[in-house]
Amino acid sequence: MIRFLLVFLFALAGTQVLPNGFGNKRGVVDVTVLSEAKAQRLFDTFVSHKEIPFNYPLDGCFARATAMARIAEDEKIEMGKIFAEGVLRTKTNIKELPEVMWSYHVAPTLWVQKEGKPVLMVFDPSMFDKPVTVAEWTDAMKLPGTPAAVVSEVYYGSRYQLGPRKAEDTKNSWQRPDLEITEETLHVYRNADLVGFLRSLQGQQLQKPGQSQQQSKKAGTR
Amino acid sequence: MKFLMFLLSFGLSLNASAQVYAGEKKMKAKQSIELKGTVHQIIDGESDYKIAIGIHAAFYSFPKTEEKEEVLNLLKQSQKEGFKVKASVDPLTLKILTLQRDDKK
Repeated sequence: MIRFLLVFLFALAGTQVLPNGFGNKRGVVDVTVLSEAKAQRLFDTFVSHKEIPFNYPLDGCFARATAMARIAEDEKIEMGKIFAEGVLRTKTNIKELPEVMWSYHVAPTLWVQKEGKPVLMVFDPSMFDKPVTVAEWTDAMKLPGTPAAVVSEVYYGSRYQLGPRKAEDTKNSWQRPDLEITEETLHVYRNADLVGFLRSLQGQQLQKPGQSQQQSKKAGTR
Repeated sequence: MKFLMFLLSFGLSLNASAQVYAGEKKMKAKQSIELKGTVHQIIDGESDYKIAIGIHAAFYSFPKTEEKEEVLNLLKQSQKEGFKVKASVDPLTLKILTLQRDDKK
């Protein structure tokens, strides 16, 4: 009996809840609590998965978030997902593409122990090089511009949710069509060679009339 | 005559739901991708409509052509009534090549 209670308490200590913005019977989602070191290792694991096109920030966040949540699940880590909706504008880490604009954004999320307290952190390698707080994540999507950036709402869901709640029902398990769309999306964006395309555009813009692309490359321009 | 007019208008209304609107003519990517979903957001710009479709986060651009009123009507109806549209897009430029109502259930 004591052993059972200890196991139960240990399990409880390993997870915290998040409010489920998609609605389910319990109204909450169980999400794992990790140490800071384990959280950074998990983040680095995501980055090491080259099949996830973090260098294609234009679209596909739903696929990246799902892929990351499944990687974590393989390590017995239960992630949630955080969604932000509105007109979101953020910087990218692609020199040729300074910013992108989204109607919504999604990333996986976990509780991380910081100074003895669990803090909700967002894992988004398309925007950051480490887990960040919800405030850091949403603030980064309010870059000034036209139309004005606005985060109209932020909510959470289970790892099984693919897109924003206006686009789908509550899900309590992985859905085959969602996993198929995820794989297809990752494949398309992986092969899109966005950076190559942007650099070719730059090369065209820097090209002088009558000069070939090779000549302008030799001159030190891209 | 009235019967013929009725048949014609019936035929036209059937055809309207399948109309394909042509957008951007040039494609930069090797392969276009097809997006399907309800229109969630529309940003009415000077020369284009920026559209958020289904689970896709990006705003895809449809140029304001001669059919801009019909296109805007289709987008607003999708937003209001919840039916899906189908868009063929260039994943490198986020420009919409073709747009139509998706009649498949």
